[in-house]
Amino acid sequence: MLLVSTLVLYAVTSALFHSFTSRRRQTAEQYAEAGRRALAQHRADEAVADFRVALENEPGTDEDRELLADALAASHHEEEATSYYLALRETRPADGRINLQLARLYRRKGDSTQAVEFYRSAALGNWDDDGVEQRRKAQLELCDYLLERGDGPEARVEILAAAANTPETEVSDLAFGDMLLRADDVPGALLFYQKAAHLGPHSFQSLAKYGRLLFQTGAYADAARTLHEAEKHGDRATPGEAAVVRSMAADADRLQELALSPDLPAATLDQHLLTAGGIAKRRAEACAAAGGSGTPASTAASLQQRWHAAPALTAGHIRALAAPEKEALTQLIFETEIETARTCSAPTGDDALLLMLARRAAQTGSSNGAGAP
Amino acid sequence: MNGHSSTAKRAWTLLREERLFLLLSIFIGVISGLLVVSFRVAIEWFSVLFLGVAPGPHQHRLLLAPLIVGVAVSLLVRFVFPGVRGSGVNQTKAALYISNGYISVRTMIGKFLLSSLAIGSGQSLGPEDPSLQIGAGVASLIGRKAQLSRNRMRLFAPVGAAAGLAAAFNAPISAILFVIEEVIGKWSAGVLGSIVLGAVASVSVARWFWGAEPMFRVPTVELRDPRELLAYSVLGIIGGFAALLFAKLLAFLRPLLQRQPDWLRLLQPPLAGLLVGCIGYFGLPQVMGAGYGAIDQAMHAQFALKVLIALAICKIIATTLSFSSGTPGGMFAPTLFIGAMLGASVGSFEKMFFPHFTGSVGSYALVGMGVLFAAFLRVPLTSVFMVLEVSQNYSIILPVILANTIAYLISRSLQPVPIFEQLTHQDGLYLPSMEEEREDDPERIEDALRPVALPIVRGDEPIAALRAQLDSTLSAEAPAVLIRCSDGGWYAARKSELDLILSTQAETSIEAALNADRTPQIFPDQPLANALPYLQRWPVLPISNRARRDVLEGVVSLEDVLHRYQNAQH
Repeated sequence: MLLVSTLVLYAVTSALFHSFTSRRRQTAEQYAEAGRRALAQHRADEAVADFRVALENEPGTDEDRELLADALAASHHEEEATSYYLALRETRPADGRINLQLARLYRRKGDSTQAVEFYRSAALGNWDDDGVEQRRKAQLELCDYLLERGDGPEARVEILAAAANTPETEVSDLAFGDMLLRADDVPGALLFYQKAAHLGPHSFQSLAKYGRLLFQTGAYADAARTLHEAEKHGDRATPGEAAVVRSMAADADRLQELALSPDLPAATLDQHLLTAGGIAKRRAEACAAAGGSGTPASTAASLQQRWHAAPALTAGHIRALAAPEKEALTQLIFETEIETARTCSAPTGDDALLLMLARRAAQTGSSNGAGAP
Repeated sequence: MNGHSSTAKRAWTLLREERLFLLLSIFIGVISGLLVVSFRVAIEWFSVLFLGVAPGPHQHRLLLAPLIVGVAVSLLVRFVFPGVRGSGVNQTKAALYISNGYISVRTMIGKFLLSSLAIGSGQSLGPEDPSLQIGAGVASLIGRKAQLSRNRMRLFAPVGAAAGLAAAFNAPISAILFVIEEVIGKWSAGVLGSIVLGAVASVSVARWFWGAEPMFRVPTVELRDPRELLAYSVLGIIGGFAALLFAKLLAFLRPLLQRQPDWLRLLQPPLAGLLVGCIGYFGLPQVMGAGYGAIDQAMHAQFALKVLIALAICKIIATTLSFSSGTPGGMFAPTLFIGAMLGASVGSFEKMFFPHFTGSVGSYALVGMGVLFAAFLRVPLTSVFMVLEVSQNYSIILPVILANTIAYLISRSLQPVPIFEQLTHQDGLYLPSMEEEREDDPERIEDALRPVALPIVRGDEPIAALRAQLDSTLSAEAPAVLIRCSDGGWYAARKSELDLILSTQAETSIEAALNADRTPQIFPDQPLANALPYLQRWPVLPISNRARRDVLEGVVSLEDVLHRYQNAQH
């Protein structure tokens, strides 16, 4: 009797339960679908409400839970989204996507330790499709985060690790070059730009980036050659980009004409000293004549005195100068540009280029102003 | 021969009843599990029917459903099912202590139907306590059908109660502990096995339908900084005071409403429903019904701090209204709800001002649930296991123990009478207080013990030796002699008995002249009441040392025991 009663009760309960669960499932599917549509249309708040109803009706579905977490993250409910992702991670600790989402949430919340940890887990985690690419993207996002935080050395290590895991293409080399540049690793960036330019010899982007960095490092001859090459393939570049490259190429050409390196052939150096000396002297005179708003009179006077005392700027006089005297003249040219830039108006044209050489010389400790790449 | 046969027959009958008892416990568990599953499904169905799939503010049905269903519930309680008022815990206790575990089928059906209607329509009540009573009702029905003895029937109700609660919570250990802490009040080996079997059977049935997923999922808690325990302590303090407020409100409103005339009492459930509906209508629909969805959302940090505090306060008000109106339904779920909201509030506050702490809002909400459970229902042990079981997350154990203990102590010191006891007093019943019973410290043998001032003789000596010793030492007032027998036992002989022994042959050993029985072995730490049954047969009881049975710690007589009890009374 007891057994029969139990069986009858079981049958009734099962019928009630199954009708109930099938209705719930139906409701859950309906709301989950609505939630997916809302999420796809960037209506995150609506998606959150829909997924909530879906999950209330069918709580066991991890897919909906993950979508709810996505919707919460998109609607800036960081705490709740984090909580959902962490709960999902309990059962799928190696899931790359969940780890990446957590990394992004912690990044938003400013918790760098957790963010870096989850980025690393994402970069090593399991992905449903195209795992290699997804892992690489996670690693690059980590690099980007480290760069954003100003953690250059750490970022450099991650970038190089990511580069090692990435098949070499012009695009990837450019991306790594960009990131290394942000990490202040100029030689590293130059190397990747060079590889990119090598892989894309007709690519304006690669040539322009390589040429510009060569220019910045003072390798004006290489920069000029590369930038002129870029100019030739500038048909796909925006007018602004093309103009910048053109201007920089012209500057590189002119800088080669103004370079004051003692390694230059004597005749060339003499010619450059003659040209640059004339430019600097005129700049000093103009500065003294203008009076320079707030310019210490002693600075302008001192520069003028030094130019008066300097050898005459004629081809014959300069040719007759000994090497130390040429060195002193070079110093005077550079100091004139630096001092007048500080005390007079901002330099333009050749003065600006000479100032660039002067500053580079001060940085590198050389007198020629042209650094090697 | 006949005596032997009847003893064997009695032992066999006893064994058979024991086995039947265990088998029936499994059936009680299975049937309770099935009924609880149906009960939960019925609540969900009614909820969808009355409140819709996605209840939200400014939906008129939030006002109408609890009002209209409240009228129906009120009429049914008044005219058809008068025994279904209240949560179910006290009713089960009352059945156990007043009517030998009897719960009528009508009460069981009424509890099922009216609780599901009330909770489904949005009354702020929970399904767990009614499940407990439904389980106890199943046990009572089966016990009656199996024509069990009165004693067995009394044992059966807790089995059913544990089964019902276990299925409702999907938490067998908590259910067993709750029944022990709150219903039967003590660990009893006789019933423990059946309670465990019943609870396991019912949870197995519930999991067959609902699955083995925990009720709440929160991430693992990493307690890296011990200072974070301070935050959990604060939660314990807040929970203790919140439980006090909740209990005080119930203690004030329920008797007030009970004193109203009949026609007004008939209006109380619909009016309470309407007021609860108003809370939902004007912005907080989460307080309606059991509120498990909202608890889950609080655990996942969906609510802002202000909303969490508002939800906790409104739930206290809504539950006080619903419960005091006499609407059938339980207080477990609302208690968990309030605790979760308070916990999440503390967690959110901590996240704002101490962001370096590692505890998630979810972990605070979970601990908060345990805190209110411990402080309001006054079941400290159950509260700890309940949190562990509903989350299946052991990493939370330290904060739970700490916060629950603080809340429990605060509640105990500020509200000496536990809520369940208050409710029974309001109903005019005086059931045993389990909290008091747990803490009752009985008088022990050592409290009445006095040094041995009686002559002691060896049992293997001849009676002549006894005579000689008595002549030399025994004063006329000595009431008895202690005889140390060769089998290690003791024999306390009265003066009249000694006279009889001394009249036998002088060469015979003392033991040979004694009766076959011996004084029972009693030790100083045993309850004093244990001595009483023996003091009719024996003039004094020798109290042995537990390490060396032949060494006496002292003796007790009936006068000593009575003297002790009388002194203790003063």
